[in-house]
Amino acid sequence: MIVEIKSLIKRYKDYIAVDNVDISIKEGEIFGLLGPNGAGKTTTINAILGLTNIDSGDIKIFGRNMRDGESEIKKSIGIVPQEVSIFKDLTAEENIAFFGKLYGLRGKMLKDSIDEALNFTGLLGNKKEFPKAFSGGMKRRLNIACAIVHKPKLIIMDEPTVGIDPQSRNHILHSVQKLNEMGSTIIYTSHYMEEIEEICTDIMIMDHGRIIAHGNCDELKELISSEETIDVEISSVNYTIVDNIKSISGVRDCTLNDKKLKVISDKKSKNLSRIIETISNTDSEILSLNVEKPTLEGVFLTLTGRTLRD
Amino acid sequence: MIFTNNIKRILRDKLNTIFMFVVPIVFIVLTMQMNSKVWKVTVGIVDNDNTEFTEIIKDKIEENGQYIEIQEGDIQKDLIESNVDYVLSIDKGFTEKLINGEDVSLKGYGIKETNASMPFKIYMESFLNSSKDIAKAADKSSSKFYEAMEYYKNGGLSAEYLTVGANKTKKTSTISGIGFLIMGMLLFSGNVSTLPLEDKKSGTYYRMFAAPLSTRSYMVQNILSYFVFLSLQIVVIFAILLNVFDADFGPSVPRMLLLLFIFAVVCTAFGTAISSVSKDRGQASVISNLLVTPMCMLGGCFWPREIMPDVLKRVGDFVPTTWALNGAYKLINGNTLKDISLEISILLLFALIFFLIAAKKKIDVYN
Repeated sequence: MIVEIKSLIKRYKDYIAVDNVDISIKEGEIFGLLGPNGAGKTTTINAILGLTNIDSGDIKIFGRNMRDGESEIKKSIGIVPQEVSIFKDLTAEENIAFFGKLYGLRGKMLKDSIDEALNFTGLLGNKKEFPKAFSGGMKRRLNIACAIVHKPKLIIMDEPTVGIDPQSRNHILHSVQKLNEMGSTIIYTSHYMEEIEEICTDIMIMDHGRIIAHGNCDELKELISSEETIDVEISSVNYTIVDNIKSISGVRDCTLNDKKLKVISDKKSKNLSRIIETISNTDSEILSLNVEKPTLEGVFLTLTGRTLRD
Repeated sequence: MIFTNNIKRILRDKLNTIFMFVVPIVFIVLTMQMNSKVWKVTVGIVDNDNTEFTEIIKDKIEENGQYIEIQEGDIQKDLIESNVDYVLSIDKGFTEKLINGEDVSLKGYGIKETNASMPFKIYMESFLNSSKDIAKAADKSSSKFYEAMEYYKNGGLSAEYLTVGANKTKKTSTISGIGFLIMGMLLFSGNVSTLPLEDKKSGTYYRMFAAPLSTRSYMVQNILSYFVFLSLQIVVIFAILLNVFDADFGPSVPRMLLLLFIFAVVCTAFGTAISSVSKDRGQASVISNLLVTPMCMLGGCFWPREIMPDVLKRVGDFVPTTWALNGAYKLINGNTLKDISLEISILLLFALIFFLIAAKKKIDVYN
């Protein structure tokens, strides 16, 4: 395990920010930490990095406790903070150089690493510019470049796509996957379930300081539902349709609301074709059909009663 | 890395350049202009005392201007008709009271106090204060008093406050220049030491500590960078004072430089303390300005301390600027480093106090 956290507790006076959290992350994973704002994700990250004291628990990075060799451990970690944390009075190149030196790079290795980081994040042509001239997406990319210049084994990305345009967001997500392919383990926190679904191999859902679910995407979706919902829009109302559909094996419920049918069916029954056939056998035509798949947002809603954006 | 990074960032902040060089140089130029003009005033003297001491006063006036004897009743007329720029009236018994240690004062009359008569007024107040000190030391003995005044006239006394002799004006200007340099150093340190606050605001502070960087290393490198720039400020302003204004730093320029480098340590500690107690750069700026201006006023950066009331002089003993300028005065008048050991010790004590204030608020990354 590259990261092992056992029984982590962190309090701020009377408020428990992280409540008895256990996390194990294998080398080579893209580990997703999903949860709404205030769930305890950033506090957990800060505890891993040794930036905040913990009240109890054990944290091991690369098999070692932070107390035994903090400097060596930190050299192999890169952090992409939630807020863009760069020096506005240094150029892009100078920013990356500063963090490269901070992590122990010198001379030619530093120079080559800077160019690689700039190239990776698509900022090679802007290296002499100051961040004030950058768009939000470019600043986020510089934020990432500063984190990866020293080619860390473990990269922690704390909500790296907040507030940026979709194009930059996609670029970042692809970059994350590329970094993982190049050998880095990634811890990726977000409250955007689509991102977590897209790139993460192992996911933990956090809320109010606790882990409420853990698994890969499919496992988590299985947690809430063995059902699927089929929405069908029909051309004309026929009240016998509802009873006919309800009689199909595996259908748990069927409702009609102003020419819109909602069919809840057991996923394993694979009865979609029968449902379509039943509708076709009436006078009504199918105008549109949609099969709703469970999402992580749905998982969160089921587990907590709230949406991720509440 | 922090040290070299700070060098770049400090140089790129225009405000730092303004505090480091522009502010002190502008004030120095203005002061030099004012002091370089010998105050050619015509002073009307109403001498009702007619003693050896009042003759000394008249000799003093003639060193830089001229005087005419006038009658009491002609004061207003002579001022209005511009026959005189300023009138000094000496009451009968003035000298006796002075020698006996009584608190006496000279009556002055003027209508043009904003021009050349102002330096004269300041000078006379300064001269009178020195005479009172000499009278106190003479312990009511006229002979001792006049003997000491003879020394004083000839520049023999190493008077702590007054400059004497032919280089009086140059030394006065130099002290003024050092006063404004000290002000510039305090303003600069108050501004530049807010770099950690800026780092906290931008988030780079926390990012740096996620890397293998200790809090001690961070603070030491920051402090070192401030000190280097303060030293640069001293060297540049010194060069300007010496080469452009022909300043007189006394017999040893290195001694004066050393005193100011010690004051640079005080400024570094002062700036670090402000930064540690402030929430953000704005607050640090307010605190700095609220402290620096009174410190400079009380310390004698803008005007001689001798013209201040005793109460304010006592209050001024609790600010480092007083001790820096005291030391500068003594060095200009030929004293050695040993003679200013008290001033140096007190300055180092101030530095220690400021550093302790800074250290008390420990670097706390996230809690």
